[in-house]
Amino acid sequence: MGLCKFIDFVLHIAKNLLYEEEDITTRNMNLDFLSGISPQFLIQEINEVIEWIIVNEVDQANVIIAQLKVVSNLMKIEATILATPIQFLNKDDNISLNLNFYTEGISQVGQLQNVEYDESVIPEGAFSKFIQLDMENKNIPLELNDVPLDTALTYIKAIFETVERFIREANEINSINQLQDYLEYNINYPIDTFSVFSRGLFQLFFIRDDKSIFGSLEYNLTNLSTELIENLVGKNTIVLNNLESSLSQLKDSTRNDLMSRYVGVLQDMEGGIYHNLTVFGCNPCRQQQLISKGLVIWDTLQVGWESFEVDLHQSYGIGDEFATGEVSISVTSYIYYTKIKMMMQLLLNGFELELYKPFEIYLILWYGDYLAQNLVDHLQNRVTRIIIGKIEHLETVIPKRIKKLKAGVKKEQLKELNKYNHEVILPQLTATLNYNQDYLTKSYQTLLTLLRANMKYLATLSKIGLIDFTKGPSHSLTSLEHLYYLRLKPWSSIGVPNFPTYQNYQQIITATLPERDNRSTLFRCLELLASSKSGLATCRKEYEIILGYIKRDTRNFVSNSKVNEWYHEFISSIDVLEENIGLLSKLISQNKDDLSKINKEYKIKVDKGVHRYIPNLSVVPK
Amino acid sequence: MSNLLRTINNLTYHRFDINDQDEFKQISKLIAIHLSEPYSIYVYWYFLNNWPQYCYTVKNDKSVIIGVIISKIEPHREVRMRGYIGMLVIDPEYRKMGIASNLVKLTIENMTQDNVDEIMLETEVINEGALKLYESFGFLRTKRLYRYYLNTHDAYRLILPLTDKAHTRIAFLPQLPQEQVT
Repeated sequence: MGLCKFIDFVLHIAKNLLYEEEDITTRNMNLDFLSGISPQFLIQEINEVIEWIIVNEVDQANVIIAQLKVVSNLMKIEATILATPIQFLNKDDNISLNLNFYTEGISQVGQLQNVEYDESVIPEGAFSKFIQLDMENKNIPLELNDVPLDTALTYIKAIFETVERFIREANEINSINQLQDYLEYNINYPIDTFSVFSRGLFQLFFIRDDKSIFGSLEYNLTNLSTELIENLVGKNTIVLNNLESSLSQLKDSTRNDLMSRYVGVLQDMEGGIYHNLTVFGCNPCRQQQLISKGLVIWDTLQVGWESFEVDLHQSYGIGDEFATGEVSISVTSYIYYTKIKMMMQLLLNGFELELYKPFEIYLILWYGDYLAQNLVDHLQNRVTRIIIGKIEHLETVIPKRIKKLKAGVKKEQLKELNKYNHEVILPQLTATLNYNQDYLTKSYQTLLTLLRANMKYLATLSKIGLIDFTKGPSHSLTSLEHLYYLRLKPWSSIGVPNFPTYQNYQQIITATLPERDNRSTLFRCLELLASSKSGLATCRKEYEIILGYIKRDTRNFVSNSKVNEWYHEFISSIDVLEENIGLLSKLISQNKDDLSKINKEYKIKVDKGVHRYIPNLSVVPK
Repeated sequence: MSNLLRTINNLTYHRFDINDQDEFKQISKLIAIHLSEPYSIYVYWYFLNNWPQYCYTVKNDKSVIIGVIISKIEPHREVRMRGYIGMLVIDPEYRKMGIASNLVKLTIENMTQDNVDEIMLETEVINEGALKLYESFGFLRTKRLYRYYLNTHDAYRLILPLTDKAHTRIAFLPQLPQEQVT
């Protein structure tokens, strides 16, 4: 009965949070898996049975009890998952959670794994196909899957381990950066190690039906959206904080029009953020599809918000400004940042899913380089200037206003505000500025250098004829131009940054072809490899600095963040690339008088790289 | 021999004859034995009945069907014409002879004449033979589909783009003329 109840919960997760026939294929045959009975009732029943077994000295009692406790603990997941009080972004209450039943579950499964079963007497996993036909069943009748016992136990153990970990870590989140770190590196990055149940459960645990975050009474999707935006562009964003009072001097009709437009764009923004937050618990293939769909959503958001923020400033002088007095469009800048980040994820995740053929790899890295450059420019320029503009506003504009005011209530109120700004907001703005410069920008800048170093290595491979990026498949029945645009289709509708044309790509790619003679090709190859090596050395140094930053900075990363693994994998990819460059340099030096000999004896082998963004193209004998 | 299209290496390539019951039976048998994914008979009957002109068979000198490709053409989301290769099966005895390649080429040629914008199919990520074949013609892996097959293997969605419509996002394409949609 306990197992039936657990199946009922799995079906609930499957129907509401997973993709039927993708993540999971449910065959409930319209049977009722005790949907009307609470898990607590069955947990109590199991407790009573355990007591009965103990009293009656049943044979193999320890095994039976362990089995019952595993089932009971599985049901406790349903009974407690939404009631677990997570201290999300609540620094004051450091209440530790009682997650003992997860650790008990792990130990009980371990106990069962040590028991030897006589599987010859266990009935085969069969469920009459005739009955399946008779029942309400939309699937082709099939023999039930025969899952080996140890596989099932390992799977159950992994459920307890994964769920316990993501609950415990969620409870430690004290800042928005920690939330992002948790979502990106402790949930998304290892998502293929999560069982399908754990993935679905995470989504249930993370965003609740009432749109609260981890069930928090304080944080829901609406205020989380503001927090996420200001986490990049800094606090005190005029358009996000009490806009209504900024509009109070306007005519009623104008104010109402603007407020109604504001509510619309805010809702759109919340929709976009919700879309992105639902990606984390999905399987890696579905994530790609959601990110692709998200590009259209975020591109549209950018258009809507840019127009709103510019109109607001141009017509009514409302909105954040750079220190120079121009409108800084803070929210639009956050949208643009998020959009380019998604564009890069969608592009570079394709390596992990093995979507790209060797002839496409240069294109992907080239476009990745273009996006990373745009992202770095955006962070270094606009985003930095937005925060500096806000600091300038608090440090000079408000004190000047106070000076001009005559003594009175208004002056005192402004003084109070000024004090709060200096004590609370300014340190927050400085912290955001520092994090953006010392971590975020550096991370993308280093990725950009790494992509470029990789491209130079690939260009060398092309120069000596080991690969030709200007040619498509051997018997292609379509043009390379069609293939170019199909590959970049998900990005094709994006207005800003400009979508590169096939002609742009052609200009780049022809530069990877061999030079006019052996000598020129040799010099160009040596130049490219030297530059690639130097780029890799820079990257290694920068990644070490980033890892040091993460180690020192406890406010922005969760305590056992897998972000370290992420960067260590980049360093390992650098090791592999350096090794490949070393081998290629040796081959070039051995064949310097006739480089064409190399492609007669060697070929390229493409494998997944250590880091998911960096494929491994090694040169191997034919 | 009816519907004969060409003869290559003593094997004859035909367009499926919808009136020939025996052909249907032979095709069913070939699919049931040699395709890893179990298909209900209704699936390929649906294809053969509606688009017999995109089903090609290969017969040996005894007129036994040793290879078949089953495809269709339909409007996709009412904005582009999509050819879809549903099944391709070659009797193992006749593999490595270029028959699959000939059948795919035949299908692509005919669909191109019928002005499709793209041709699509799915194949298992571990089916190296199929991937090599289709990718040599220019099909691109556009999506990886999680646990797409009943054996839990992932699939790649492959697309051969033939017109600009194939690489324009749906939201930015005009509706197809009504006569093509219906």
